[in-house]
Amino acid sequence: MLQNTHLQIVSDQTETAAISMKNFSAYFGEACILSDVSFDVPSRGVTCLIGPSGAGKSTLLRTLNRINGETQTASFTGEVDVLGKPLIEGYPDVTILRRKVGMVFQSPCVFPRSISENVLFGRRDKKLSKTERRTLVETCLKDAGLWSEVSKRLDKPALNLSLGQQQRLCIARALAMTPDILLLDEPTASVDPVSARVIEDLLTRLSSKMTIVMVTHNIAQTKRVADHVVFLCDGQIVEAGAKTDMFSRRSCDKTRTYLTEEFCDC
Amino acid sequence: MSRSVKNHIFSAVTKLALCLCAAVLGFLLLSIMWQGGRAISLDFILSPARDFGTSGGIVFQILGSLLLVVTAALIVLPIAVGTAIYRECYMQLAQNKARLDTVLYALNAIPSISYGIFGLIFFVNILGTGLSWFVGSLILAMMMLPTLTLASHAAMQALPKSYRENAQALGLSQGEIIRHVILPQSSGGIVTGLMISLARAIGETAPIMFIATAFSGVSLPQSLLEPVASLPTHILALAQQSTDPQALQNAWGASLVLVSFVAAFSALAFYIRQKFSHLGQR
Ligand SMILES: Nc1ncnc2c1ncn2[C@@H]1O[C@H](COP(=O)(O)OP(=O)(O)OP(=O)(O)O)[C@@H](O)[C@H]1O
Ligand SMILES: [Mg+2]
Repeated sequence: MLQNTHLQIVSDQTETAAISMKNFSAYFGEACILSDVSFDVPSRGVTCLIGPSGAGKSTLLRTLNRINGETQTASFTGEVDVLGKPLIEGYPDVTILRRKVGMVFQSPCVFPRSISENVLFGRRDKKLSKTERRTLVETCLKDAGLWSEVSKRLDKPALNLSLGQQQRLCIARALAMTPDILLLDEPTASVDPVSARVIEDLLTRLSSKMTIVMVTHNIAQTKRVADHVVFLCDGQIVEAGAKTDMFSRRSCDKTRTYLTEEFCDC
Repeated sequence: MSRSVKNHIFSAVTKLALCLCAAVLGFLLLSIMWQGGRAISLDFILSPARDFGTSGGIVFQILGSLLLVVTAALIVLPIAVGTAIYRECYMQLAQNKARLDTVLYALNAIPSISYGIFGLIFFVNILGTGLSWFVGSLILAMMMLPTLTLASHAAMQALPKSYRENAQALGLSQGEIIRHVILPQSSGGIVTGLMISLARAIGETAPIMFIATAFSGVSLPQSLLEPVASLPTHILALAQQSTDPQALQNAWGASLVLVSFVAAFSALAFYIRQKFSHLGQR
């Protein structure tokens, strides 16, 4: 459903989609949560996943780094390619997939350790020297827009940070893995409007370096940060495309109703 | 009867129950301290028993008891924590989890004398180990196993699911998650469980009296297969000579020392729980 226009915007080397789903259906036990979903997420840029509660947005996101696979009853059919390789067969070692596809959850969860330990939590490689570690912590925290607030207390417990700061710490922690794709499930849902704007700016900045897929309920936010929009309703894709198309007359009635009135009768 | 009267009666009854409970405990502790205090001196603690315990001290009983339970702890810790990890991280079927729980609760309910008889028949008679402190530790470890496994597992289960999910999302392998998330976060609960089971084990008489301890004439064991002396069996032996006031007094003294150990382990459990919960919240 993606129109060709925005695939041409991106440069040649990134022409292949970062994520591509074909006839994807997801189930929890017998219940079909997503049915016959097909869409591409172009490399780079921010793709926003919108839709009413229970539409299956989180399920879709959690499929992409196989966190759903940890749930006993979860299963899916169809083709999913991540970074040009099939989701299951292409990544026999799931940890390799997860290092390339970072994920930030809706509610921030920091480990009861120091701030810098939290940033480095996923970096289990012993080869990093002390200075490399320090630089990595600094770059990630700067990228996450948290450095100025915590640079003086890197060794202090991360649990003392405010919720908005914890969420940015979670983003920094994901960035430390240098992922190619970053998945965010309502990253600003539990933070105040000011911190939310800080995170939005940060995502816009990051989107020049990596592919960002983000679930949000906030239409204004979608308008501000999205390059592409995927509108999901009742486990099916209503429409997907570039933001400018979605917010213009060209979108279908259902989408326009949701986007303008933030109300959906589907 | 009006509601407030009922309330008053109910709160009075519960208060009475609490007082009764505290009174029993207080009476017991006070009498042990009162009677035992007269027997205890530095000399009593530091010198070996003589004349079947009626004179002399209890130094080898103290050391023997500690040796028994510390060895038991070393044996049981990896098994219990391993079982708890397996139950929490690898066991898939809810059915199997329920089965394991049933087994653990059943083990917990086995009377301690049965463990003693099992040790006597299996180790001493069939394997021919003779009286040996190592077999005693093994049996004590078996007794501690369900308590410690359940405590460890409870500590792991209490961890928020999001910890594990976040660690998975960062690309940590199952082993790394166990090492860096589950074990450190639940270690407070594990150590607390260990202290509680130690406090129970050090006071156990029945499981070790036939298989690990000799009543007199032993010092420290030179090998795994030698018997030790222990506090509870020593008290038992002294109590059987209750016509001799000197033996009784020494029994009270040994009881006081034993109760102090139990109290120390319990206090340590309490302290560790405080310390770790504080660490978690910083
Ligand atoms: N582990 C699970 N087991 C069974 N059903 C589940 C599970 N997780 C989610 N579901 C169901 O899948 C459907 C989609 O849930 P999902 O969390 O993906 O919705 P969502 O679009 O993210 O909603 P929201 O905007 O409220 O977060 C819901 O009906 C939910 O009940
Ligand atoms: Mg959701």
